[in-house]
Amino acid sequence: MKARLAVGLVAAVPFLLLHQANEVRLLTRIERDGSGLRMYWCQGNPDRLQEVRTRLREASPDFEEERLRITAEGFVLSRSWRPHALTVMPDVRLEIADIPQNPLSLYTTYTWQEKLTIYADTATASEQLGAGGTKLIYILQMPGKVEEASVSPPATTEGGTVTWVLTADKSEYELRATSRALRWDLLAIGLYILAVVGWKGGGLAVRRVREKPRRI
Amino acid sequence: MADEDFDRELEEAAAQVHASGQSGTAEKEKPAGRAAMSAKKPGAVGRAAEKLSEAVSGLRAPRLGWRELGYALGGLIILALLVQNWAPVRINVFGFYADVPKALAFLASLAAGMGLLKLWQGRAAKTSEREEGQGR
Repeated sequence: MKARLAVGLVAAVPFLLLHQANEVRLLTRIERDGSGLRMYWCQGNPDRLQEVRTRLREASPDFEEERLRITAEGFVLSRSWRPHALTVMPDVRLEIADIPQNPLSLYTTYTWQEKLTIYADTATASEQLGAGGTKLIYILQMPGKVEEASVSPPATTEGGTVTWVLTADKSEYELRATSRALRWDLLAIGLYILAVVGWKGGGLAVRRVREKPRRI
Repeated sequence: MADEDFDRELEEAAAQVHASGQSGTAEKEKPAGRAAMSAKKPGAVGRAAEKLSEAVSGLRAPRLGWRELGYALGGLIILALLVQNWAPVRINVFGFYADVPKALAFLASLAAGMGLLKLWQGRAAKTSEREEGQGR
Protein backbone atom coordinates (compact mmCIF):
# COMPACT_ATOMS: atom_id res chain seq x y z
CA MET A 1 0.00 0.00 0.00
CA LYS A 2 2.81 2.37 0.94
CA ALA A 3 4.65 1.68 -2.31
CA ARG A 4 1.46 2.23 -4.31
CA LEU A 5 0.87 5.53 -2.54
CA ALA A 6 4.44 6.65 -3.19
CA VAL A 7 4.12 5.78 -6.88
CA GLY A 8 0.86 7.71 -7.04
CA LEU A 9 2.46 10.79 -5.59
CA VAL A 10 5.45 10.91 -7.91
CA ALA A 11 5.30 14.10 -9.91
CA ALA A 12 5.07 12.28 -13.23
CA VAL A 13 2.81 13.90 -15.74
CA PRO A 14 1.57 11.78 -18.66
CA PHE A 15 2.41 13.37 -21.98
CA LEU A 16 -1.03 12.42 -23.29
CA LEU A 17 -2.65 14.53 -20.58
CA LEU A 18 -0.78 17.59 -21.80
CA HIS A 19 -1.52 16.66 -25.41
CA GLN A 20 -5.25 16.16 -24.97
CA ALA A 21 -6.07 19.12 -22.74
CA ASN A 22 -5.88 22.73 -23.87
CA GLU A 23 -4.10 23.75 -20.68
CA VAL A 24 -2.71 21.80 -17.73
CA ARG A 25 -1.50 23.40 -14.52
CA LEU A 26 0.16 21.74 -11.58
CA LEU A 27 0.01 23.66 -8.33
CA THR A 28 2.10 22.98 -5.24
CA ARG A 29 1.33 25.12 -2.22
CA ILE A 30 3.68 24.95 0.76
CA GLU A 31 2.19 26.00 4.09
CA ARG A 32 4.25 27.42 6.95
CA ASP A 33 4.21 24.11 8.84
CA GLY A 34 5.43 22.01 5.91
CA SER A 35 2.01 20.69 4.97
CA GLY A 36 0.60 21.72 1.64
CA LEU A 37 -1.66 21.32 -1.33
CA ARG A 38 -1.01 19.53 -4.57
CA MET A 39 -3.49 20.17 -7.38
CA TYR A 40 -3.80 19.35 -11.04
CA TRP A 41 -6.00 21.66 -13.09
CA CYS A 42 -7.00 20.95 -16.70
CA GLN A 43 -9.04 22.81 -19.25
CA GLY A 44 -10.19 21.39 -22.55
CA ASN A 45 -12.92 20.62 -25.07
CA PRO A 46 -15.88 18.56 -23.83
CA ASP A 47 -15.28 15.82 -26.44
CA ARG A 48 -11.89 15.12 -24.82
CA LEU A 49 -13.19 15.06 -21.24
CA GLN A 50 -13.20 11.28 -20.83
CA GLU A 51 -9.63 10.86 -22.09
CA VAL A 52 -8.34 13.77 -20.01
CA ARG A 53 -10.08 12.45 -16.92
CA THR A 54 -8.48 9.01 -17.41
CA ARG A 55 -5.02 10.53 -17.84
CA LEU A 56 -5.47 12.86 -14.91
CA ARG A 57 -6.52 9.98 -12.64
CA GLU A 58 -3.48 8.10 -13.87
CA ALA A 59 -1.28 11.03 -12.85
CA SER A 60 -2.90 11.44 -9.43
CA PRO A 61 -4.33 8.08 -8.29
CA ASP A 62 -4.29 8.87 -4.57
CA PHE A 63 -5.65 12.39 -4.73
CA GLU A 64 -8.79 12.77 -2.63
CA GLU A 65 -10.88 15.32 -4.38
CA GLU A 66 -12.03 15.70 -7.97
CA ARG A 67 -14.04 18.64 -9.23
CA LEU A 68 -15.56 19.12 -12.66
CA ARG A 69 -17.11 22.26 -14.09
CA ILE A 70 -18.51 22.34 -17.61
CA THR A 71 -19.03 25.69 -19.28
CA ALA A 72 -19.93 26.78 -22.81
CA GLU A 73 -16.22 27.11 -23.64
CA GLY A 74 -15.28 23.67 -22.37
CA PHE A 75 -14.58 21.82 -19.14
CA VAL A 76 -12.40 22.52 -16.13
CA LEU A 77 -11.30 19.45 -14.22
CA SER A 78 -9.21 19.48 -11.06
CA ARG A 79 -7.90 16.90 -8.63
CA SER A 80 -6.31 17.82 -5.33
CA TRP A 81 -4.56 16.30 -2.36
CA ARG A 82 -3.59 17.91 0.92
CA PRO A 83 -0.77 16.02 2.64
CA HIS A 84 0.14 16.66 6.28
CA ALA A 85 3.77 16.88 5.10
CA LEU A 86 4.88 17.47 1.51
CA THR A 87 8.03 15.47 2.17
CA VAL A 88 6.06 12.21 1.91
CA MET A 89 6.29 12.65 -1.85
CA PRO A 90 9.24 10.93 -3.49
CA ASP A 91 11.67 13.03 -5.57
CA VAL A 92 10.83 16.01 -3.40
CA ARG A 93 12.95 17.82 -0.84
CA LEU A 94 11.60 20.46 1.49
CA GLU A 95 13.92 22.01 4.04
CA ILE A 96 12.56 24.37 6.65
CA ALA A 97 15.04 26.37 8.74
CA ASP A 98 12.68 27.33 11.58
CA ILE A 99 13.34 28.43 15.18
CA PRO A 100 15.05 25.18 16.33
CA GLN A 101 17.40 25.20 13.33
CA ASN A 102 18.08 28.92 13.25
CA PRO A 103 16.96 30.52 16.52
CA LEU A 104 18.60 33.93 16.12
CA SER A 105 17.21 34.81 12.70
CA LEU A 106 14.13 36.94 12.15
CA TYR A 107 13.20 34.81 9.14
CA THR A 108 12.22 31.20 8.51
CA THR A 109 13.72 29.85 5.29
CA TYR A 110 11.99 27.32 3.02
CA THR A 111 13.86 25.42 0.31
CA TRP A 112 11.92 23.34 -2.19
CA GLN A 113 13.41 20.94 -4.71
CA GLU A 114 11.50 18.60 -6.97
CA LYS A 115 12.26 16.28 -9.84
CA LEU A 116 9.36 16.26 -12.28
CA THR A 117 9.00 13.69 -15.04
CA ILE A 118 6.92 13.86 -18.19
CA TYR A 119 6.50 10.35 -19.52
CA ALA A 120 5.48 9.64 -23.08
CA ASP A 121 5.40 5.82 -23.08
CA THR A 122 1.93 5.44 -24.52
CA ALA A 123 2.12 8.33 -26.98
CA THR A 124 2.45 7.61 -30.69
CA ALA A 125 5.31 9.02 -32.76
CA SER A 126 3.03 11.56 -34.43
CA GLU A 127 1.73 12.69 -31.04
CA GLN A 128 5.27 13.08 -29.79
CA LEU A 129 6.15 15.28 -32.76
CA GLY A 130 4.19 18.13 -31.24
CA ALA A 131 5.88 17.76 -27.85
CA GLY A 132 7.59 21.15 -28.08
CA GLY A 133 4.25 22.92 -28.24
CA THR A 134 2.70 20.92 -25.41
CA LYS A 135 3.02 22.87 -22.18
CA LEU A 136 2.59 22.33 -18.48
CA ILE A 137 2.34 25.35 -16.22
CA TYR A 138 3.90 24.56 -12.85
CA ILE A 139 2.94 26.94 -10.05
CA LEU A 140 4.74 26.87 -6.72
CA GLN A 141 3.35 28.90 -3.82
CA MET A 142 5.68 29.33 -0.86
CA PRO A 143 5.35 31.09 2.51
CA GLY A 144 6.84 34.58 2.59
CA LYS A 145 8.73 35.98 -0.35
CA VAL A 146 10.59 33.91 -2.93
CA GLU A 147 14.27 34.82 -2.84
CA GLU A 148 15.66 32.47 -5.44
CA ALA A 149 14.27 30.12 -8.11
CA SER A 150 15.93 27.78 -10.58
CA VAL A 151 16.43 29.46 -13.93
CA SER A 152 16.17 26.54 -16.31
CA PRO A 153 13.40 26.65 -17.46
CA PRO A 154 13.00 30.40 -16.83
CA ALA A 155 10.89 31.17 -13.78
CA THR A 156 8.51 34.04 -13.20
CA THR A 157 8.54 35.14 -9.59
CA GLU A 158 5.94 37.32 -7.90
CA GLY A 159 5.89 37.60 -4.11
CA GLY A 160 5.59 34.06 -2.81
CA THR A 161 4.71 32.48 -6.17
CA VAL A 162 7.00 30.99 -8.79
CA THR A 163 5.71 29.92 -12.20
CA TRP A 164 7.53 27.70 -14.65
CA VAL A 165 6.30 26.82 -18.14
CA LEU A 166 7.51 23.30 -18.93
CA THR A 167 7.38 21.78 -22.40
CA ALA A 168 6.98 18.09 -23.12
CA ASP A 169 10.04 17.84 -25.39
CA LYS A 170 12.14 17.33 -22.26
CA SER A 171 11.30 14.35 -20.08
CA GLU A 172 12.81 15.47 -16.77
CA TYR A 173 12.94 18.76 -14.93
CA GLU A 174 14.56 19.76 -11.69
CA LEU A 175 12.81 22.68 -10.04
CA ARG A 176 14.17 24.57 -7.06
CA ALA A 177 13.12 27.63 -5.09
CA THR A 178 13.91 29.32 -1.79
CA SER A 179 11.71 31.68 0.18
CA ARG A 180 11.91 33.60 3.44
CA ALA A 181 9.04 34.35 5.81
CA LEU A 182 9.25 36.88 8.63
CA ARG A 183 8.80 35.40 12.11
CA TRP A 184 6.28 38.11 12.98
CA ASP A 185 4.90 36.11 15.92
CA LEU A 186 8.24 35.90 17.66
CA LEU A 187 8.90 39.53 16.77
CA ALA A 188 5.56 40.67 18.24
CA ILE A 189 6.09 38.71 21.47
CA GLY A 190 9.68 40.00 21.79
CA LEU A 191 8.62 43.62 21.20
CA TYR A 192 5.80 43.26 23.73
CA ILE A 193 8.16 41.90 26.39
CA LEU A 194 10.69 44.65 25.67
CA ALA A 195 7.97 47.32 25.88
CA VAL A 196 6.65 45.95 29.19
CA VAL A 197 10.12 45.63 30.72
CA GLY A 198 11.05 49.13 29.48
CA TRP A 199 7.85 50.69 30.79
CA LYS A 200 7.87 48.95 34.16
CA GLY A 201 11.65 49.29 34.59
CA GLY A 202 11.51 52.97 33.64
CA GLY A 203 8.67 53.56 36.14
CA LEU A 204 10.62 51.84 38.89
CA ALA A 205 13.74 53.89 38.14
CA VAL A 206 11.77 57.15 38.19
CA ARG A 207 10.15 56.16 41.50
CA ARG A 208 13.54 55.31 43.03
CA VAL A 209 14.96 58.69 41.97
CA ARG A 210 11.95 60.53 43.45
CA GLU A 211 12.09 58.62 46.71
CA LYS A 212 15.84 59.15 47.17
CA PRO A 213 16.45 61.77 49.89
CA ARG A 214 18.02 64.91 48.48
CA ARG A 215 21.04 66.56 50.00
CA ILE A 216 20.35 70.08 51.27
CA MET B 1 -49.90 116.66 7.05
CA ALA B 2 -47.45 116.63 9.96
CA ASP B 3 -50.13 115.16 12.18
CA GLU B 4 -50.72 112.42 9.63
CA ASP B 5 -47.00 111.62 9.57
CA PHE B 6 -46.91 111.55 13.30
CA ASP B 7 -49.91 109.24 13.43
CA ARG B 8 -48.30 106.89 10.89
CA GLU B 9 -45.07 106.80 12.89
CA LEU B 10 -47.05 106.12 16.03
CA GLU B 11 -48.91 103.25 14.35
CA GLU B 12 -45.66 101.75 13.06
CA ALA B 13 -44.07 102.02 16.49
CA ALA B 14 -47.13 100.41 18.06
CA ALA B 15 -47.01 97.61 15.49
CA GLN B 16 -43.32 97.09 16.25
CA VAL B 17 -43.96 97.00 19.98
CA HIS B 18 -46.83 94.56 19.43
CA ALA B 19 -44.66 92.35 17.26
CA SER B 20 -41.75 92.40 19.71
CA GLY B 21 -44.16 91.67 22.53
CA GLN B 22 -45.50 88.65 20.71
CA SER B 23 -42.01 87.37 19.98
CA GLY B 24 -41.10 87.97 23.60
CA THR B 25 -43.91 85.81 24.79
CA ALA B 26 -43.04 83.17 22.24
CA GLU B 27 -39.48 83.14 23.52
CA LYS B 28 -40.74 82.91 27.02
CA GLU B 29 -43.05 80.05 26.12
CA LYS B 30 -40.30 78.03 24.46
CA PRO B 31 -38.55 76.82 27.65
CA ALA B 32 -41.90 75.78 29.02
CA GLY B 33 -42.47 73.81 25.84
CA ARG B 34 -39.03 72.18 26.21
CA ALA B 35 -39.77 71.39 29.82
CA ALA B 36 -42.98 69.70 28.71
CA MET B 37 -41.04 67.75 26.08
CA SER B 38 -38.38 66.54 28.56
CA ALA B 39 -41.05 65.45 30.97
CA LYS B 40 -42.22 62.99 28.30
CA LYS B 41 -40.96 59.37 28.38
CA PRO B 42 -37.80 59.05 26.20
CA GLY B 43 -38.09 57.05 22.97
CA ALA B 44 -36.16 53.93 22.02
CA VAL B 45 -33.26 56.01 20.67
CA GLY B 46 -33.24 58.14 23.83
CA ARG B 47 -33.18 55.06 26.05
CA ALA B 48 -30.38 53.51 24.03
CA ALA B 49 -28.40 56.75 24.19
CA GLU B 50 -28.93 56.91 27.96
CA LYS B 51 -27.76 53.32 28.38
CA LEU B 52 -24.76 53.97 26.17
CA SER B 53 -23.78 57.09 28.08
CA GLU B 54 -24.16 55.17 31.37
CA ALA B 55 -21.98 52.36 30.04
CA VAL B 56 -19.35 54.78 28.73
CA SER B 57 -19.28 56.74 31.99
CA GLY B 58 -18.89 53.43 33.86
CA LEU B 59 -15.74 52.56 31.91
CA ARG B 60 -12.53 52.74 33.84
CA ALA B 61 -9.03 52.53 32.43
CA PRO B 62 -7.66 49.06 33.30
CA ARG B 63 -5.02 48.94 35.98
CA LEU B 64 -1.96 47.59 34.23
CA GLY B 65 -0.26 45.49 36.87
CA TRP B 66 2.07 42.55 36.28
CA ARG B 67 -0.87 40.14 36.31
CA GLU B 68 -2.80 42.01 33.58
CA LEU B 69 0.35 42.33 31.48
CA GLY B 70 0.94 38.59 31.94
CA TYR B 71 -2.61 37.85 30.77
CA ALA B 72 -2.03 40.05 27.72
CA LEU B 73 1.21 38.17 26.98
CA GLY B 74 -0.66 34.87 27.28
CA GLY B 75 -3.31 36.17 24.88
CA LEU B 76 -0.63 37.29 22.43
CA ILE B 77 1.05 33.86 22.56
CA ILE B 78 -2.29 32.09 21.98
CA LEU B 79 -3.08 34.43 19.07
CA ALA B 80 0.36 33.79 17.55
CA LEU B 81 -0.11 30.02 17.92
CA LEU B 82 -3.54 30.19 16.30
CA VAL B 83 -2.26 32.20 13.34
CA GLN B 84 0.86 30.03 13.01
CA ASN B 85 -1.36 26.96 12.81
CA TRP B 86 -3.80 28.45 10.33
CA ALA B 87 -2.58 26.05 7.60
CA PRO B 88 -5.63 24.16 6.32
CA VAL B 89 -6.26 20.49 6.94
CA ARG B 90 -8.58 18.39 4.84
CA ILE B 91 -11.55 16.92 6.66
CA ASN B 92 -13.55 14.09 5.17
CA VAL B 93 -17.28 14.39 5.87
CA PHE B 94 -18.83 11.23 4.42
CA GLY B 95 -17.01 11.63 1.14
CA PHE B 96 -17.25 15.41 0.99
CA TYR B 97 -13.95 17.13 1.64
CA ALA B 98 -13.54 20.45 3.36
CA ASP B 99 -10.32 22.34 3.91
CA VAL B 100 -10.48 23.92 7.37
CA PRO B 101 -7.72 25.88 9.12
CA LYS B 102 -6.01 23.62 11.65
CA ALA B 103 -6.41 26.11 14.50
CA LEU B 104 -10.13 26.44 13.75
CA ALA B 105 -10.56 22.65 13.64
CA PHE B 106 -8.80 22.43 17.01
CA LEU B 107 -11.00 25.16 18.53
CA ALA B 108 -14.15 23.56 17.09
CA SER B 109 -13.28 20.15 18.52
CA LEU B 110 -12.40 21.78 21.86
CA ALA B 111 -15.75 23.63 21.90
CA ALA B 112 -17.59 20.43 20.93
CA GLY B 113 -15.86 18.54 23.77
CA MET B 114 -16.69 21.29 26.26
CA GLY B 115 -20.31 21.38 25.12
CA LEU B 116 -20.68 17.60 25.40
CA LEU B 117 -19.09 17.62 28.87
CA LYS B 118 -21.44 20.38 30.00
CA LEU B 119 -24.45 18.47 28.67
CA TRP B 120 -23.29 15.29 30.36
CA GLN B 121 -22.68 17.07 33.67
CA GLY B 122 -26.10 18.76 33.46
CA ARG B 123 -27.79 15.43 32.84
CA ALA B 124 -25.85 13.78 35.68
CA ALA B 125 -26.84 16.59 38.06
CA LYS B 126 -30.52 16.27 37.07
CA THR B 127 -30.45 12.49 37.53
CA SER B 128 -28.90 12.78 41.00
CA GLU B 129 -31.47 15.45 41.97
CA ARG B 130 -34.29 13.17 40.82
CA GLU B 131 -32.86 10.24 42.75
CA GLU B 132 -32.54 12.39 45.87
CA GLY B 133 -36.16 13.52 45.47
CA GLN B 134 -37.33 9.92 45.17
CA GLY B 135 -35.28 8.91 48.23
CA ARG B 136 -37.10 11.46 50.40
